[in-house]
Amino acid sequence: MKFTKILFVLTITTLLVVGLSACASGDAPAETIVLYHQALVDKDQERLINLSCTDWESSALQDLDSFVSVETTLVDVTCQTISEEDDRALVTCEGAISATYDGEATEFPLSGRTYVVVNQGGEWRMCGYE
Amino acid sequence: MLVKLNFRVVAFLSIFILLLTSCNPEVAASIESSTATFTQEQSPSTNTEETTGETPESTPTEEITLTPTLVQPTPTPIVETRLSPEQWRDWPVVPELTGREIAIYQHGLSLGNDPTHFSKVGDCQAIKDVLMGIYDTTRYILSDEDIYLQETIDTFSGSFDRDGQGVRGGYNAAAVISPFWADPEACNAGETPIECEYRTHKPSFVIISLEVWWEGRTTERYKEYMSQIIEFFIDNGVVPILATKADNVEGDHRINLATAELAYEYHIPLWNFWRAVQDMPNHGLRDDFHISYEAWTIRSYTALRVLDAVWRGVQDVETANVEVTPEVTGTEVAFASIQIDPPPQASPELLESERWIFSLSQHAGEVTRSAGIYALGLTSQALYQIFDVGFQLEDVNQSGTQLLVSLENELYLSDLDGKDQLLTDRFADMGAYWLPDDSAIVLLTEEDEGRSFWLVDPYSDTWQLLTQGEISGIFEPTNNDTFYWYQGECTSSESACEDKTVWRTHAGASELFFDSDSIAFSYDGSTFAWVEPQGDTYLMLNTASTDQSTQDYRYFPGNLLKGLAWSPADESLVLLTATLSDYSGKSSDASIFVVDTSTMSYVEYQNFSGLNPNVYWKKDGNQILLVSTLVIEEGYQISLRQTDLISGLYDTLEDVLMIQSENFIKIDKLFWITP
Repeated sequence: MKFTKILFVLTITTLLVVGLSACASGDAPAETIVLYHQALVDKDQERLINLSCTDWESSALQDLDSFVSVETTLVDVTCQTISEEDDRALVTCEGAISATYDGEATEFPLSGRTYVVVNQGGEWRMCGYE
Repeated sequence: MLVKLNFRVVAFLSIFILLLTSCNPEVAASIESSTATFTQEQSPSTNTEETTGETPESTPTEEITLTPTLVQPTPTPIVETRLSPEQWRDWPVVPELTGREIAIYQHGLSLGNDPTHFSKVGDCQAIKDVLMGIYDTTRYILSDEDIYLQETIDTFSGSFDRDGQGVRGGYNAAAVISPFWADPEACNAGETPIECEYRTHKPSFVIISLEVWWEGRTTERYKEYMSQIIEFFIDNGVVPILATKADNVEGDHRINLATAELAYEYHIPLWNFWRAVQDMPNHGLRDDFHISYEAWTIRSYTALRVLDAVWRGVQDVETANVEVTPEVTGTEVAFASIQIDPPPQASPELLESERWIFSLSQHAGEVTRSAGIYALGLTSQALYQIFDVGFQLEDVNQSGTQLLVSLENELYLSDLDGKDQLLTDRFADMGAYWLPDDSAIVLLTEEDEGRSFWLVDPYSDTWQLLTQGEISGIFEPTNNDTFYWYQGECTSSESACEDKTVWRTHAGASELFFDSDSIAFSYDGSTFAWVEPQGDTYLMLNTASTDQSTQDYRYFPGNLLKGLAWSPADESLVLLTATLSDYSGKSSDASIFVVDTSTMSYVEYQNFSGLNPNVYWKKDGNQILLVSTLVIEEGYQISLRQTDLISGLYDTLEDVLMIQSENFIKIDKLFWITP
């Protein structure tokens, strides 16, 4: 009886761990792009660099600098991985960055471009557009 | 037991399957509106083609056709005669050319750039309302010295009153080279704003004026971005014109220095706008960053001169290193005619009792002139011109029959028929008023030893000196024995004075009364009012008794005081406020509050549009007249609205009096005379 219960708990725990791991690996490129945009609107330079591949770091800083004069928020951002091969994935997004300057808001749609995400050092990182 | 275990297994297996399903690559990662909270939701589609189909429709790419006859760049020696970048403050407002502009320009022609187009790249200080948009209208006027600029205006017609893709509030040097900021409706996918602007407008010149400083960023980063912008335009044969900025938000002018260094390094023109506004009040700024309304004119005018100089410079190699624009010295300008309906008649002898007596002024280029004094009979609606151009109305007595009129330093007492008597030729142009009982006049004269404040009986020619010294202006008197005046640095009789102090003179003695920039006395002299800004969105109306024993206040929306006028009949006053936009520099329509100062309760009336709004009371205190200047297609038009304060009903009075001109016009003073 006691052994059965322990076995049951262990089984369930294992199933959950395996399940969550699968979840993380499956969504990672899209999550990276969402997090990248969140860091952008938060104007969090360190996080933005951590989410960028080496080649994209200077472009990421330029993106950040371009928004530094305005107040920014994300509006209904949804990203999805549309292809993944080896260490490279392509992601598209819906939603927008809303930038407010002197009370006037402008939305920058995130659709219309395909984001390139690469796996560097075991982490998915934003690496440009296609 | 077995059943229970099976149930749990099934339940958790279900959860497991659900988790796996949710981790399918087809499921999106998302962030809901502006929050960092992750949710997992079903993607609308994973079809690549459909996703691509959601790409914003882009403007078809314009083919860039090389002209058949290639213009070979003429080798022009680059001559850098400017002072070092460290001495940028001494660089001229209008640059001398180095010669490199010619090579860039000719290369641009070979690429098919339009020699009649220029572009602007900038932030809110470069939008068409602020920077040169006026030159695509009929509302500007050039002095004799500046008439040569008309050729440049004609040549670049259509480029002035447009923002294009290179100008937007919030732009900075990084934004204009970021595809994020390109307008998806006008620009191709992946284009930056400047690439988009170049493709869609094909300019030969570009004015780059990016003032915004950002906290925590280095000058090196600014220069890096600016270099990318400059090199993009040079590579595409567009002559870049850099600009210094009026503000010093960064504290040590390092951005202006960096801009000068870039101009020097690339041998390209620099428009030294900073220098152009140094002689203006507060150096052309209305806060730490935004330039003042007065500086807008200087901004557009000097930018035009720079464009003209560079454009003429690239036409002829021999003139490339010659300064081609003269300094502004002249003040003679040609004023446009004023259309008035009904046409004014000559003699006001038959004027009935109730009437408006008012003076007009007209503004062209940098010159303002008085445009005559008129009387309008409110019953007959007949208009009479009492004085011609040049005369300025100072005050009218209670019956509306005796006018105080000035012409430069001369002050006259006049009848309605224009028969006048010279009171003084030393008038100081800072006000002359009748006493409340019309028994005498107070006025200010300019003497060798300073200014003198006089009480004058014009009929017996008796002059009594009230006080003498540094007197900037005087207030309309509220009784016959106490007089108020003020000191301060005042650029004109209409503008606010810096460090203004109000003084009171009674029985030969003067004392400091109040520190304030703007103060208005009630008609009986018992109370005065002033307005103080409270942050960016509120104004505080203060009232106090002149013996300063009581004081009250109330907040009103707005950040700009447009008018403050006491009722002749009671303790009410009209407060006109507006809100100034930091983005465009434009103010909103005027909000109208009629405040009972005994309780500080108020009634708000319908907003009033137009420039320079002002308000005048009817003597019974039941009606007000609102006056402003409207911008119309043909120029400017006076707007009049008469409001009944009891019913709240109002009439616009275009059918009674219509005044228009291509030049800016306004009603300076108006007196509502009633029987």
